Amino acid sequence: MIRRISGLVGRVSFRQLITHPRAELGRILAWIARRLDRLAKVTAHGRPDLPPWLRDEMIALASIEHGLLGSGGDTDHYRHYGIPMVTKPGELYRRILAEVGVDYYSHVLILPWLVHGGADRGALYHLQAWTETLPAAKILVLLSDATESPWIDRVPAGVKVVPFGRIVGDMAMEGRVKLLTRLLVQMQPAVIHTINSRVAWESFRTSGLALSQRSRLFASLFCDDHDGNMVPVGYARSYLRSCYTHLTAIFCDNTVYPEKWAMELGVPRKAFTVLRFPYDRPVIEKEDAFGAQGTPRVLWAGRFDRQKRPDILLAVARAMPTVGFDVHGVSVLGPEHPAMRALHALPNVTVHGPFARFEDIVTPAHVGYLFTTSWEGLPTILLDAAAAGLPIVAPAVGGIVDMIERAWLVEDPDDAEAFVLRLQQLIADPELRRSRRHQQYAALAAGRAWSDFTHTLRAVEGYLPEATPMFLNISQQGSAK
Amino acid sequence: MMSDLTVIITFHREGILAHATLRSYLLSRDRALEAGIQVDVVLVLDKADAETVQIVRGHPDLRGDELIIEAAVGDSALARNLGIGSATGTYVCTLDGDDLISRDYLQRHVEFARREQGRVILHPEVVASFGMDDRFSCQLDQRTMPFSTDMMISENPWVSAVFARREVFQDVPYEPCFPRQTGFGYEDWHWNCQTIAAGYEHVVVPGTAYFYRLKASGSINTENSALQAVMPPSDLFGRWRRS
Repeated sequence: MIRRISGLVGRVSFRQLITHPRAELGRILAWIARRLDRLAKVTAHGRPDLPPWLRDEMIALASIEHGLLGSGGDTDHYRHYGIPMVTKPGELYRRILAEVGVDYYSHVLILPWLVHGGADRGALYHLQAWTETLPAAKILVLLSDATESPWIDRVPAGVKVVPFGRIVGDMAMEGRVKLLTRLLVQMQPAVIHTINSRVAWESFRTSGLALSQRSRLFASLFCDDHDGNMVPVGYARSYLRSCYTHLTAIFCDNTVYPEKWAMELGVPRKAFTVLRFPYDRPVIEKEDAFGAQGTPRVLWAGRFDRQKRPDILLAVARAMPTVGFDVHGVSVLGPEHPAMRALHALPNVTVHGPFARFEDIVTPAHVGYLFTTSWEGLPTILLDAAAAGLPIVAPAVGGIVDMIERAWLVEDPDDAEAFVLRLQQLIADPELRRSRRHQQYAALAAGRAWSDFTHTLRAVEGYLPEATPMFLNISQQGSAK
Repeated sequence: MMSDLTVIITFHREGILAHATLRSYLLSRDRALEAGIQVDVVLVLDKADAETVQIVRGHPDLRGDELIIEAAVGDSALARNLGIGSATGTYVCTLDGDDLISRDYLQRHVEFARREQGRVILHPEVVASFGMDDRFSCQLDQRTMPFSTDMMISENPWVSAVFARREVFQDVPYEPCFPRQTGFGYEDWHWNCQTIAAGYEHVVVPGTAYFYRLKASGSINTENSALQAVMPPSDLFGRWRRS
């Protein structure tokens, strides 16, 4: 040990340590890591010496294969390598199997979690479509992450939900991917569909060819995210190019992103299926005069993160001091958005907490719904706002143009003045409010019925089981006449 | 005529390396013959290149009674199955076309097997890898070493060279993979899993070594690794009731 420590000290360059401390410390740590790795191997594998009979055998065979011996004609260069006795992944796999059970599942949906959100709502629509066409007992939902899933009780009855992420715990991504892949390879379901599960995307990336031999693979994508430099990032950017050949279809809830990804990534446009989410809640169209009741108020609801632009909300609220703003939403993990403190301080802004249902936060005083954002697919909250009869003021980003005509939308999501102008127009003109409301009702009615959703799914090869043919009993037909 | 042992050697594009390999394997064969063990050899050339065919067919240590099969199945598992289909031995031993074995490898395996009554698969005690890296490892013996089937999902503890009664290979044939076309691979790992699931025990033969040539490219294992191939479904990892 003393020899090793003195060996380490001998390797340290104290001059480097002073002039380039990070580089030198990194070099020292790398050296220690190598030593520890070697120590761990020797400790774990034991028996580091070449058996004498093996050495003799190598020498005897060296005239046939000189590569068996080192350059000095000896066997000193052989290191012992122990077979790793790694059982933890196998144990976890058995626990997953115990949860999954022994009955075959034909359809597997892989989600990271089930929380209050648009993608989660979409996942439930897919589950509902499945349960309408095959027994619920044939459907398996795998929650790949360990996050809480408050919407788990919305999963249709009889559908099995397995908390894969909880079972594997803190296992590294590579291990999770291998276990998920093994499970899917073994189970061979007819359909494997992922919505926003990184573990599943990684599985598709590394093993998509193998998985697609016995299953059809599907994925849902909605839009890009953007990093701090507004560079597009997300599942589409990370995985589409390597996975699309293995995917039977890629569902997207809007028409904009398939074109964008085809153009920017080169993924064939035909790989995508535009699947509009249905609006499944009752729509009672309001026919009132939409007159202003008291001080006009504007509703804002969403996440307080940089995508949803609380800074634009702040600028708009500051520019309209005589208008009340009801702000509903939840903060996301991490530091609070800098605009939030100022928003709380504005006298015309009331910051409320989270909400369960959109219709619960709409009041007769609201003249419009302000939706600020930098990038989007087609947020389902706009469907809720439309159903509630509340005129929407939103930017022309992502799939929003599928629902609201571009002429009404704010062209630049950074243009606070344009948002103010649209809100002022709404406040000043009841006829405009009624007109916007009716156009939104019309948009909601166009292609967003449940039957439209299932019709699109039925057209996708292999996604839903073939409908059982209904054969008319001729004799009964005759007797009915 | 039924022999004691059929040695199945599969070749692909080993080229001149097949020469040293055959020298080693046939030396071990000759030693077994001297010990009174009837050994026959089946050489399977699967989509082999011209150099490999020439080296194998013209090898100076051939006795002339070896069976040489030229095939174009393009898959390691199918090539082995093809050779096994022609085997007549009580026992079958599989070997790859670019490795070497200890001189008494075949004799010791047969003698060990004759003393065995159970459902066993035999492996060499030591694998010494050489070439790109030089290391040796003691192969896992299910009877004498800590073993759990849980480790099989992460690691294949045995090299592809195996020895068993011929009917074992009929009971559990190798699964064709075609890695480039299907993404499946590691047919030997899969076979080990399948045999464990079928109740066979993997044990090692003391004093035997397999010299495994580590190549930067061109071997089945490096190809599987580069393709990120996945082991096909195995009975060891779950069965589902299809109603």
